[in-house]
Amino acid sequence: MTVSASDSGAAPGVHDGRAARLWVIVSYALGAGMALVVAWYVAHIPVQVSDSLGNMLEARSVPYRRVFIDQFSAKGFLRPLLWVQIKLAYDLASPGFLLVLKTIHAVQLLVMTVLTVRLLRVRSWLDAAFVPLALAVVFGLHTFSGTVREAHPVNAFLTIVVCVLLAINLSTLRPRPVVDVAAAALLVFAALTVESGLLVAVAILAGRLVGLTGISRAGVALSIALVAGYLGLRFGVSGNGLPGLVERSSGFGISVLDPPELIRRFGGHPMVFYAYNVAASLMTVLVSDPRAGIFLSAKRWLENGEMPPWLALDIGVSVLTTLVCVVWAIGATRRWQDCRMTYADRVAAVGCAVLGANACLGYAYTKDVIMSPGGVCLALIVYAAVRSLAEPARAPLSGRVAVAAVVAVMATGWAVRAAALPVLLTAEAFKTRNDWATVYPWLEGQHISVDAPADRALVETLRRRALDMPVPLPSRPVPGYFTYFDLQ
Amino acid sequence: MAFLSRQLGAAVIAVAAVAPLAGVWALVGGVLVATPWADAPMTPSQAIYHRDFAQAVRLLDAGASVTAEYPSPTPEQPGRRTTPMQEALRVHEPDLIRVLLDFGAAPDAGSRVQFACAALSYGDAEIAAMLLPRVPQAEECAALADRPLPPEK
Repeated sequence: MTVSASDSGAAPGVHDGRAARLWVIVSYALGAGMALVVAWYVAHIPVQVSDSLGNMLEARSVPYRRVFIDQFSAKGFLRPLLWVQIKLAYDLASPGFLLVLKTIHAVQLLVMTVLTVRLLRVRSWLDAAFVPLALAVVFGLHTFSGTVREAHPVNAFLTIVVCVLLAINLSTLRPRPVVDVAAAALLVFAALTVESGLLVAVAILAGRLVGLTGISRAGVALSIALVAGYLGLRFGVSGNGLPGLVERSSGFGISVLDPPELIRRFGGHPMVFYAYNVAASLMTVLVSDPRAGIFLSAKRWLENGEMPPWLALDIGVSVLTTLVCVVWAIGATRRWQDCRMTYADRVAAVGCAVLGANACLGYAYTKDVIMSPGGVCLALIVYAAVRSLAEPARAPLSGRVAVAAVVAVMATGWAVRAAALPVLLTAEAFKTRNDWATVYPWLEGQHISVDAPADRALVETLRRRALDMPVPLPSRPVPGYFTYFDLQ
Repeated sequence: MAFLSRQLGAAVIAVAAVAPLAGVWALVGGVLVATPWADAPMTPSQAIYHRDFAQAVRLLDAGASVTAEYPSPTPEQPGRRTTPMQEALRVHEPDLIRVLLDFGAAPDAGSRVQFACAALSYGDAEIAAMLLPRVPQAEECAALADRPLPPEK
């Protein structure tokens, strides 16, 4: 029950080589186009005050060695390579900051999209027809927006999304020792960047279990050994441990609980809170509610007696999409039992594993962007699901019309959700530029000193550039259908 | 015939997947492309009224007076004139008020009292306390301020 690089899942409407290449090119071009549109809007967001400036000031004056080593003694977290990346980005960016930092972000976006399209393995016009829907899920799911609206100054969550997609892509290659080594290096890099980097190991293991043989058994064993080593380092040598209830506020039910309240409610039985977070993380991807642990639909209903149109649309589209994925999962399970899994089934199955593991890794507190790797994997599952619905041999024409209606509703919903992203990014650009207007009081409030001439010069340079950036005014009249856009 | 039917069925589903995406993105794309990005010319007071603090600070950086009264028309009051500080008090932005104070928005004790009273009238005791170590009571404000207080929020 393995799949080779040539197994394309018996695509219907299969063309000769030239026609197939055309649809491959069309798919990559569409993906690249969408990534570049998003990157263009990202490029018009100034360097962020709250997420980037403090990190840059901190990383600026510390040597690489210390930036790396200090993180091994951090309490609750182990992210040494994240800080190396922050410092590297700062050093590379100085003095052209915005250009370099935004180029890094754009490249991340482009790579992510190319890796996603590659996993879809387009071979026919019918395959290509579902690529826009898959990409709309990638860019339209709310868990993704955090990877583009903020940067630290390099967005670590987007880095992990790229790493996970890279791991799944490695699983689809022809097995070679170099693939095993690359997978191991990728795992080390991702795991030492942020905790959700461990999802790379999940992708590697799940890929092998469902029959993607790019990474050999030895490579998988090496990855498992590396995870064991990571855990030993974290809990034994470094003693970083796990984040506790005191680390930060978290959404629960319809409100945000601060650490003292979390301890009061769950100090004696934190597993209840952790289980809630895992369920909430899974639901936010599959149902689009809760958001950051808060059930927005219930909250808005209780507070205002109504649900905003954008939230109703998001939840409706997500529920429909999840139902379609459940139908696929039932069929895929049967095919798995009969050893008839297609390539798309296997990739989507890895996506399911990553999604589940992503929710489990987010047990400590809920934040939508943490689920961004799982969100992108949902796109792989959706692609497999709608693609399997369109198999020519599966239903009469009348059934196909019904399927087409479901797909059309899904596509419309995801089109609106994805279209909201650029609008959200323009609002983010305006907000971020405003943050620079009050940067000095903010620095004072954060007890960050910029008395050193170099620090002052950095802040002043970034402030001037941010204030000079043109952004659209959100107070301008907007079309009525913007009420269907999730701009939270 | 069966082959054609299958192909047609697949094509219907493909169109159903592509058409809505193309339609919605073309519509929203058109709106976004038509949206102007350059800042409209505004006075510092107008900019703060529209919550465009960046533009207000940029104008003050460029030498605009922080104590002057600027036209800041609203649909209800077309001839309205306000200082940047009056607008900042209206939008309840403590950090922006700090920035305006650094620019010299309250050069004397009298103007601080005036702004603190205005803040109180908006129900913002935190900002009033930031402006004055001892916040005058509301009834004192009418006497202390050299102009009528803004209307209650």
